[in-house]
Amino acid sequence: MSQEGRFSWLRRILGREKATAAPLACRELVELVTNYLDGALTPGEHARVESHLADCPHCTRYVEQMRLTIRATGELREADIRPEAREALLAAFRDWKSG
Amino acid sequence: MPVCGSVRREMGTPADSPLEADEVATLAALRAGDERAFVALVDQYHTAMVRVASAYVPSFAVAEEVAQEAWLGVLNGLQRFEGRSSLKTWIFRILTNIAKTKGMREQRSSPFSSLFTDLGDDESAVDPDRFAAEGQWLLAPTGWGDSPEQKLETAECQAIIHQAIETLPPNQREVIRLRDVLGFTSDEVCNALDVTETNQRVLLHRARSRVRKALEQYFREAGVG
Repeated sequence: MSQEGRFSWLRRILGREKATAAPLACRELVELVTNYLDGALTPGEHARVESHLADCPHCTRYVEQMRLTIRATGELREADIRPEAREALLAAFRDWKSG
Repeated sequence: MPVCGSVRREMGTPADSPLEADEVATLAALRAGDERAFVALVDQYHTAMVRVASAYVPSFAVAEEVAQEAWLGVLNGLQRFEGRSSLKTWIFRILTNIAKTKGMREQRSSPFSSLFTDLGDDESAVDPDRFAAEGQWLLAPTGWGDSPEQKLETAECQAIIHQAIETLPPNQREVIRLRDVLGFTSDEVCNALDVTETNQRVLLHRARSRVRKALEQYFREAGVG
């Protein structure tokens, strides 16, 4: 196991201690949501976010709404390729194949 | 050069090639001249390619041309492609190179290069007036009622989301379309748009925050929550 992997539990705990030392404000939390959901926060920051969410129903709702927003955005459909463009590409493929 | 990507790519032995199993099959079919494999690939990526190209060039028509040209580049490069990156990453790198060249020729007054480095003014995810001086909520997010998942799938809500995305600044719009509509990973967006991981996340966060805000407003006006 790598050094980093071996001590990840330790860093998590340290992060948690830091969380009690410097709690996040709601105003700060809403700026961290995308990094939080992408897993792009440091273990310490991640722990601060989680400990804030554990007792802030408003921010919990906010994060949930961001999750819903992302999911619903994924339901949007981009326009399909135009038939002329598709035909032109198929013709190009046939050219390439015979050339 | 891609700004963020896997280190593995540089080592590129066949054993640790990042090609997915389905990409290996697609590649073999394409090389064998299988038309259906090509059409399937076109259906899968063409729209996204036009989308990416449109970030670099001034019009949809030019973006379409760039995508067409990129497909020719893909076909001509097929035999040389070594699988050091995924097929998708390779295709979008070809596309981006063509789009940039064309963008530089046609858009001299507003160089693309600043689009994803100049992120614009600082922008809060939530209106600062909704927080107290110490940073806690004064006006907390209002609820979206029961079973919001279903409500969000209605044509009305989908139109709200579409509209919100259309009115975003261009750099935010391209990033959210690739990440959240077309399902690109963070790495794939960085590669296609030549944007750093940090800037990509800043733009994505601003874009998502604005879409959430539009939905909150819609639900509030509809009397939900």
